[in-house]
Amino acid sequence: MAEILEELIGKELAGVGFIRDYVEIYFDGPILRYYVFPVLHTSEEIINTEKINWRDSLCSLIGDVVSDIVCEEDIHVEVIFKSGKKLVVDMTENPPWGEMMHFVPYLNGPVSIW
Amino acid sequence: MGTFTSTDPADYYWNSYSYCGGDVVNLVDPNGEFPFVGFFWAMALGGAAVGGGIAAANGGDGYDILQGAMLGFGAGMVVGAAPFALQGVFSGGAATTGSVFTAATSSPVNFGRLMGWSVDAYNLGRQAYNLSLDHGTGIIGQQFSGGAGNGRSRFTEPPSVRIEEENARAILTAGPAENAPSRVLQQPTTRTTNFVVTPRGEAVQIPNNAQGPSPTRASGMQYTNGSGENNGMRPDATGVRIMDANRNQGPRAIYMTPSGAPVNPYTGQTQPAATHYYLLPW
Repeated sequence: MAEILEELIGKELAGVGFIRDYVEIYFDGPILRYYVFPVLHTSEEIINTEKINWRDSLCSLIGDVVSDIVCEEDIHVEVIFKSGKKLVVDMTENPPWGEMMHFVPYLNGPVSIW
Repeated sequence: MGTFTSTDPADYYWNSYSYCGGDVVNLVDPNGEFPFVGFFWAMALGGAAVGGGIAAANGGDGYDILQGAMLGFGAGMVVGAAPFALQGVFSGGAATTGSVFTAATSSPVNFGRLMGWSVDAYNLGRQAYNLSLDHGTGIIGQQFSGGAGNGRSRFTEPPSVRIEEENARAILTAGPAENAPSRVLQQPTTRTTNFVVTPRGEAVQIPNNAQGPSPTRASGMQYTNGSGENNGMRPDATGVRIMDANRNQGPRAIYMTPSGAPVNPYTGQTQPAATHYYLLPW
């Protein structure tokens, strides 16, 4: 998993898309699609979907650059940014549709699915 | 389309009641035990008759007539093989252009494995292989061996098929495992898959010229970088992934936009994660 997502290291987050019941993060080419909503960790707080500023907090990452990927297969995935913020997905969740996250390396490219 | 009223004694196909595996255009099975490529043989024998006749009419001796018949037979084989090269045999329509060997992919995945590659290879003139992997199992990149499971096929030599991940080539190896002659059954540059068929017989249409199958990491396979145009689908349905059951969902087919997002291929509407799996259930 990490070896796939490490392609994001050094890339700037270019946009955030809220599509029906999932979220997409754009990196000028690669796309991370979250079917389980990610939680934003900052130095001050942890912002999940129950917080009113969750959407704004995701958009605050636009322009930030990925500095590291920390994965523990089937446990959690962290995308860490140079600002110190990190997007965390709990891979132990069990959504009714079964899939947690997609990584698309480029348009029309093969999708990696977790 | 005709069917047997009892199971085919040779049991070549996953549906053992089907006549010639449902391919009544290209195959005939006069005794119910083995499907022949009827058109092919008819053309070959016709060519032999014509070739021999021409040689005889030109005053040739017995050798000339035999030679003419052989040449005619060969020419008839080429003509007879043409439809297979053009349209393939069985679902998916994958044929090796210019070769009498044909192969096709049929049903896709089941319980974490690629399943049901149906590979039919006719080694004309000496012996016929009918290599059915309906119950063979393996994942892309691994090697199938021993041919069909469950004693479905007759082999005078043990064949094996290797499915290569890149470009989805199938390679038939006949004979002893070591130093065995191999033939590429599918040429990646001459084919794209039009549809795949589930073990229950439902067809999943593949967007035009989509490339695949390629792995999805989660258990399944995908075709990408095609176009739904001319298939009755919207052009932005450029791919489809066919997934095994996961812990919460059954097997499913999901059409995708260029970004991999789920889409209704006929309306172009984006699909919620929670519901899009029901597009093509089986």
